[in-house]
Amino acid sequence: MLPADELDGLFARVADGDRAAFGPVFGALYPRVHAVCARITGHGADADDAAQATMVKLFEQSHRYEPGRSVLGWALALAVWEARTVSRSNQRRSARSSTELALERVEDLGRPADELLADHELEQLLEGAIADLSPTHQAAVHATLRGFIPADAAGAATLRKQRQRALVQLREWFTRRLRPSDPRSP
Amino acid sequence: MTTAPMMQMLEAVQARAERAYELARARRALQSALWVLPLVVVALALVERPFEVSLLALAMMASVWLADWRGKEWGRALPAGLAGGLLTFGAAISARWVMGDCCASGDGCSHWCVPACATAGGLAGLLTVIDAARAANPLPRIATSASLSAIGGAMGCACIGYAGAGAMLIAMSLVLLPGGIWLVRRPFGTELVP
Repeated sequence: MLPADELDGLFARVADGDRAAFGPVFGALYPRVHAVCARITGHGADADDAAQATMVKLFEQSHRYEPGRSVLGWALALAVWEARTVSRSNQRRSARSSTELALERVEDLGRPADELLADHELEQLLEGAIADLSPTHQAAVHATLRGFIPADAAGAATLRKQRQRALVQLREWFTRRLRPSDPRSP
Repeated sequence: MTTAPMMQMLEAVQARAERAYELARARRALQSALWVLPLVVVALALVERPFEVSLLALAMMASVWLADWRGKEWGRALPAGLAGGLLTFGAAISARWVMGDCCASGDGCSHWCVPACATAGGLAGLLTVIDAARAANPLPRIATSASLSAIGGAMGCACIGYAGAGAMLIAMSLVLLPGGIWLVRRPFGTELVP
């Protein structure tokens, strides 16, 4: 392991553009940085991420290095910061994922029940409305719902007219049924 | 984790750190190169050869970028090189200003501008040698400093054509060649002026 003053000298050379000093500086700093990150994050993968981010930042900002200052102190301070950032990010992620999971469970329980109820009420209402139509109009509505298309033009025109009349009657039926407490309504 | 994957991971992290280091150096060198822009603007405003000046400006910016990105002695030569470039550029522009619009008419141009360019070239060469004398490895300093001085001088001397630039380069070479040979051969630490 390199002594601190030798490491400072090597890093000053890196900051000056000496690429030959890069490898020895990296080799001397990475294990110490990784150890600090592992102690803070407690996880192997998180420590790897934090140590990598530390080394990238350290060399990215090497031009800011002032000769005579301790590069080890700088690197370890960066490592503590990066490790805490990774830990906080993980905590936020786990908190968010548990909240999302709980919400999904609530939605699984609640929404289908509402939808089922609404669908059931609508089906009953529609069945009642169609049952009140004349048999000819009922046939026209069922043909439309099933996508039946008459082969000849005359049949298509007849079906269109019956469908229009059925729709008018259905609109009237719904208007009567859904009008709120009108005393004049039958 | 076994040794081989751990070594691979370490190599990958080191490669990433090296990339970040080189990119940061390149970005910083680009910022340094932008400091040349005011000189380029002045040159374009004062010298009537925009094409030549633009080419020289590009060459100067590229030289500054390369020297700053490379670092070490190349980067340390930048102050002296830019000072030399300013000196040669300023000498040519000043001579032209003293003589009025001599370059357009041709009157008196060779009497004033060419000697001014030659003198500035010699001084820039001397500045380069003095600066390089402080370095253990003088050649990168001489190369960077001399090229920046020559480009700056060529930008300024372009107004009188090749004669001014040629005189400046010859004068600079007359100082640089013996000075450079002495610097390379001397044992490091020898004082320039005994």
